[in-house]
Amino acid sequence: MAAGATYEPIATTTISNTTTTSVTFSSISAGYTDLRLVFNGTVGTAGLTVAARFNGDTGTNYSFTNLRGNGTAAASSRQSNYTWIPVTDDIVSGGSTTIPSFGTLDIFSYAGSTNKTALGTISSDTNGSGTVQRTVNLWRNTAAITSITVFITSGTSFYFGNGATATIYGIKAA
Amino acid sequence: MANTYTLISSNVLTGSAASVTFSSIPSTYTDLVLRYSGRTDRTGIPGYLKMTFNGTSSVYSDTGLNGNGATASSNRNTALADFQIYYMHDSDGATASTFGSAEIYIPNYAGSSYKPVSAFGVGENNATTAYIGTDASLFSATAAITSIALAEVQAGRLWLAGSSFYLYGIKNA
Repeated sequence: MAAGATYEPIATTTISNTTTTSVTFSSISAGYTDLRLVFNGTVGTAGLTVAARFNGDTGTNYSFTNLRGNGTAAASSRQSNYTWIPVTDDIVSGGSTTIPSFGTLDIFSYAGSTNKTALGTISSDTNGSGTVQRTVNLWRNTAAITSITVFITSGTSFYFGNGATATIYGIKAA
Repeated sequence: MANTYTLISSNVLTGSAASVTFSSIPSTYTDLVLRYSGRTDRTGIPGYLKMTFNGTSSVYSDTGLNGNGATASSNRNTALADFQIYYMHDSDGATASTFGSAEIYIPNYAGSSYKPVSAFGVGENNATTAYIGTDASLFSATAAITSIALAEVQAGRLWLAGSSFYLYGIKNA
């Protein structure tokens, strides 16, 4: 059995203002097997989406398939050639300014030499509305992931809510 | 570096129990993860999880996404006295000696905002019908979570011997 922890926090950011539009985790070590991104927080304007990009890639190199419930019906959809993958809801009602949304991305073999896949969970219930989702995501790039940017998709005039937290964990297989 | 993912408490049932409770949960972690392998004596299938925090009532809601091997559906509960999360474990009508599995993630459980909860469970069954549920839940209270109680939604039903429950704390630094 390898020495050292299996599940380690690499970096965490808690936003303490209402003017932050993105957070970047850079210089991610290649010393883990998988990564987990955990986001919990509100948004500055109702309906905003929190998303992720890798290595600063803003090209149409992302895609995802979504399975979701909105409290009434189950549905599924797919997006191809996108410029990001979702961390929180981008389909049903988006984020809330008062009630935190919770999202995770499990990024497998992030330092390997194949295209990168990630499994996502999105949990956003607001006592009368909201959504639960599971996503599978693809970044078509064989480079190792060395940075992850978590941001508001509507642009730089839109912000995270005060107190939102994003954390990257590293997971070692051995 | 201190341990990131730590077992806080566990409970493996050697007999039936109406409720399993984790109490005196320290506030020193960032998030909580509760994992269990469970079976109740609820009639039929599947099991429905009744969960409360801090013994509080009237502040629970959820949005669920469920499947039974034939259809997918979504449900919603609002302003309940407890969480009622569908399809989280096995019950009396499932294949014998079979226990469902569930994971419940509670971020920022000790913070001063409302608490979102993410749940995922299965009630496996060697038949044409088995159940899977995933849930976005909300605890609309600002108090830190210091206790978690788990039971079957159907009144009078019990967790069965062999059900096991594990509460972990995760630190983000």
